[in-house]
Amino acid sequence: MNDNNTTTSFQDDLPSVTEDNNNSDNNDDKDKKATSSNTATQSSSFECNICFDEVSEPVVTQCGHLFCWSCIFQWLQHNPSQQCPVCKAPITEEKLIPIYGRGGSTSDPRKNRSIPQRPPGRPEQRSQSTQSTYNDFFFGNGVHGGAGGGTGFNTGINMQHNFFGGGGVSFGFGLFPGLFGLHFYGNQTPTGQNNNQNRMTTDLDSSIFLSRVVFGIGLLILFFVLFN
Amino acid sequence: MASGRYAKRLQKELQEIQKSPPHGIMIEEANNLDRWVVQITGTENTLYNGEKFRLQFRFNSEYPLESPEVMFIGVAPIHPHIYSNGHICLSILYDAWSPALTVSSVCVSILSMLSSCTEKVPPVDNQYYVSRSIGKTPKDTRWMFHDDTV
Repeated sequence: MNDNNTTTSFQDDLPSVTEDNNNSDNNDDKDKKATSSNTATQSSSFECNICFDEVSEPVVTQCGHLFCWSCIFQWLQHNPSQQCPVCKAPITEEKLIPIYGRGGSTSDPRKNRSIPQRPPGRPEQRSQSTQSTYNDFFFGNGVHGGAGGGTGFNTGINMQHNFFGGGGVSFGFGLFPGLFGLHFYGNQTPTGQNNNQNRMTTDLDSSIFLSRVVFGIGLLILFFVLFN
Repeated sequence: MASGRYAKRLQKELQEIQKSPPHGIMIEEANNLDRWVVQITGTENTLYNGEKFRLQFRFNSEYPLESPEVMFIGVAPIHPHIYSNGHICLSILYDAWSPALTVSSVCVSILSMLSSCTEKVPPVDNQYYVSRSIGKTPKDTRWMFHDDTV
């Protein structure tokens, strides 16, 4: 981190200056802050809170405190209270989050065979549809029909217009994207209908109820127009 | 000798405390990393103003997972939580120890314990405790922590 900053702000300086000198001379605000907060201890921010050395196989607690995996593991074995050494918040082995920097994790320098493997990362699983498809879908249609009706009534009329005219995707997305996006796609591209329906049901669960209500109103208006 | 695993940490602590010692705290002896003697000086405007005491730290191989053994050597301050044999009734030295604590933070805690004292009196059970704990370290005692006002 420091290296990058110093090379950018001291391009004209001799490259042989040591990192410490760079830090004390650095004009960069960020670096100043970092060094001033560290002057008392002269330590980097990535030291284990137990061995005070640079972290190896870093894990972080839910309360945000950094440890070597082997250090915190031994502490949890050693101390029945299962508290964070820094803030005494309750911690459990399962909830420790491993940190993976670039270049892969190095092996534990202590080579202590009694320390089990660091717990794996547990990325959250995305639901059936991914964020990107949602965005594509939503904005893709939004561009076409972005100026859509401002009220339920207007959108209803727009939909009716679409049914009869069979025109391109238009209108209706501003207020209730769920319902009308689904419906219009059904009209235009029958093959994509099922996919889109699936996406809609998973993506827009929260607005599905509202959409149904408006759909009902739309149907009523349709019937009204048709049978009068 | 301290275990190789954490000797580095003790070295680091020593360097830091020697480089920028907290007010009223001075390393008197640390030739052997296992045993340090720290001189603490009573803070101004407190009952112990200017008085100097010597604290002995002993580190076993489990440090910092286990607390160091800390006691006053020489003359101990007269304080409701400090026995005349130098043993100190302070939770962080025993049950409430955390490996994130340091020699420096322990010294500061002890100084603060002295500073907040309002009356120089020995612990009520001083005679009894001292006679019973001959030849024992403070870590052998089962401490009860009941008074957090001083």
